[in-house]
Amino acid sequence: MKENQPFKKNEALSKLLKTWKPEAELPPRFQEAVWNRISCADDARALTLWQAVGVWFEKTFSRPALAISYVAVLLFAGLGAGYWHGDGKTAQAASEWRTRYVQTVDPYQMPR
Amino acid sequence: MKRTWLILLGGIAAGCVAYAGIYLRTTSAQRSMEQSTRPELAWLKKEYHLTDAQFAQVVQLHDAYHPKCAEMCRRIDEQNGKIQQLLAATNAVTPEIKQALDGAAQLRTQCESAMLQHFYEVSRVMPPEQGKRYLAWVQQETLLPGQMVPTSPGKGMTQR
Repeated sequence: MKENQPFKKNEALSKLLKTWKPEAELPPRFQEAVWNRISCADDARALTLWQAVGVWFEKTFSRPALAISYVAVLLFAGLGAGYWHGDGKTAQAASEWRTRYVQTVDPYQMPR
Repeated sequence: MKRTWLILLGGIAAGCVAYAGIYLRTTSAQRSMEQSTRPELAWLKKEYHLTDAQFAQVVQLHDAYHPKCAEMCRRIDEQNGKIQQLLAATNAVTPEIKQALDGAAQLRTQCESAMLQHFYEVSRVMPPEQGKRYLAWVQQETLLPGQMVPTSPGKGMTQR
């Protein structure tokens, strides 16, 4: 008897579901979008890390604004780093020359 | 995929080229000075905006002063050696030690007078404003006590 009870319940549920008609409308191309998502999920599962990175770059650089931004950021980073490094090097060299000059004119600071 | 690689590597290349370009440009003056025969004097030309003729005069004055400076250096070492010997021989201030210290003080006065004389001569060769700047800086570095690290010209007076 107990075993029949769930079946009876399911039968009742089935009947109820058959009478139910959803009123909400699906968004346009809903079915296609679902299949696309399933397909993408399958692809993602099959990709290695490098392939995933490659796909990410490909998707990112397919947008011109992002590609231009990427190049611009590296360009300005290069300019900034070059200026900072060059300026530091110049200041260091100037400091060394000043020290050497002082050492050549002051007998108390002359290297022994 | 080919386009992606092109953008990826192109960006890195652009960054490297920009770095090298600005670095070489920023350090070009320094490199040309390093290649000069007297880099310890060449910086004076740039720093104090000297003409070729003014710089040649500065070099001439420096060359004339240098043997005197080396001689003073030798005398200082000699005097210091003498003081060290006297100090090692006793534990009291003897008349000999007083005399040696007086000698060292006199030598310092002579050295500083000669240095000052040289600095005035060099500053007179420079344009007036630059000469003033040079004097202020070099006096700060040599004659005024307590200097540990050479300062940048034009900053020395405010740092103390």
